[in-house]
Amino acid sequence: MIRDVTLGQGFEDVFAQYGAILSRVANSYEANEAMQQELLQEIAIAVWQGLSRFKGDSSVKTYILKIAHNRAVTHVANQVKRLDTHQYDHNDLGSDGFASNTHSPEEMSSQHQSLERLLRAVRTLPLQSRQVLTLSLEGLSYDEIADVCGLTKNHVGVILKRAKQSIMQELPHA
Amino acid sequence: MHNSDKENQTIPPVSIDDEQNDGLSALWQAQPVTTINLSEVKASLNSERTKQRWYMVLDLLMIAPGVYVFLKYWDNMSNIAQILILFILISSLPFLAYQLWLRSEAAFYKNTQTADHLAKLTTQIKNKVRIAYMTKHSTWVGMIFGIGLALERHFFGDLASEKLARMVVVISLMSIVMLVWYVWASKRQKRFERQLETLEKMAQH
Repeated sequence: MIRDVTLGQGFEDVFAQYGAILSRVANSYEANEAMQQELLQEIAIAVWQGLSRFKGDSSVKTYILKIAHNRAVTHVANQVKRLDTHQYDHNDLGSDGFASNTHSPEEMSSQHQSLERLLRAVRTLPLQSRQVLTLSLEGLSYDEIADVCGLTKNHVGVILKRAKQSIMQELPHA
Repeated sequence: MHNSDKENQTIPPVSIDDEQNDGLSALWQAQPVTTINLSEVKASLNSERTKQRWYMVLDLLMIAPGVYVFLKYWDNMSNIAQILILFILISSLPFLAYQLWLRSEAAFYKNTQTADHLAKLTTQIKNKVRIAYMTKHSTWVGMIFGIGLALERHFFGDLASEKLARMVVVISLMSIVMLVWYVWASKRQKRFERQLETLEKMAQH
């Protein structure tokens, strides 16, 4: 994989494997569907550029998540003129809905609402807490999160605990 | 357009340490995602590279009038005019080099840690505020130098009356351009100041 990416090949494989993670990073920063797509495109371009310099000193996942979050931070700074950037709008959730096809309509509705609340709560978190929590939800270890964010492992633990407490107030039944 | 998330099925999440957290993680990963259009990414990448190259060409062209005057009229200039032209050229070179460096920096995305990225981005935006401030004030400074050159030609050179009239027209047109440029640079400065405020708020948490 590393050799392929370094040689300018294998980008498609990386995007096929990690495209969903990158999309969720965009979703955690943008509520509006059009803005999510714009941010995802920006992230994809940044990742594409970044992969050509990937040397294999971390996992591909950690590497691209660093780039994705950095790009998202830049995006937020660039969007200061758009007042609605971080406001959550029910109509912005997209036409596909939240639930998978394997659930019943009741489950879908419940999951839809839970996910709606979760996304809303995540987007209201401060940057560092949002990053630490979403990376944790993606299955990254404390060490990996510390590496992405530039924090100590202990600091990650403290931030994650607070972020979860904040989220659980919004999602008491999760 | 949704993808099923297949990545990292084998990685045990060290950070999620109880059932409640597993539920939260499962809920998070159940959200619909957008498929990345790779052909659009490639096209945007190429377009962005072309755009950056054109910006660099425009940056370089900014000093072209000064270089042209320097090469074409140097021998016919008085000492004062030569000093003015040299001052304009020499003072614009570091500015140009800095501008080109900023563009090349912006063109490359690095896998720095977010805390470092935020700090670096904040520094970059501070520099952009400074550049916009300098650009804004370079308009009226440039006009003073332009008028100074015209006055020097008028009092110390053998300027014919029709040439003087043409110079007045040119300076008037330049004044309008510089005024527009001043307003544009001022708006940019305010926009970068708002960005800086946003970044500083982000860094506080």
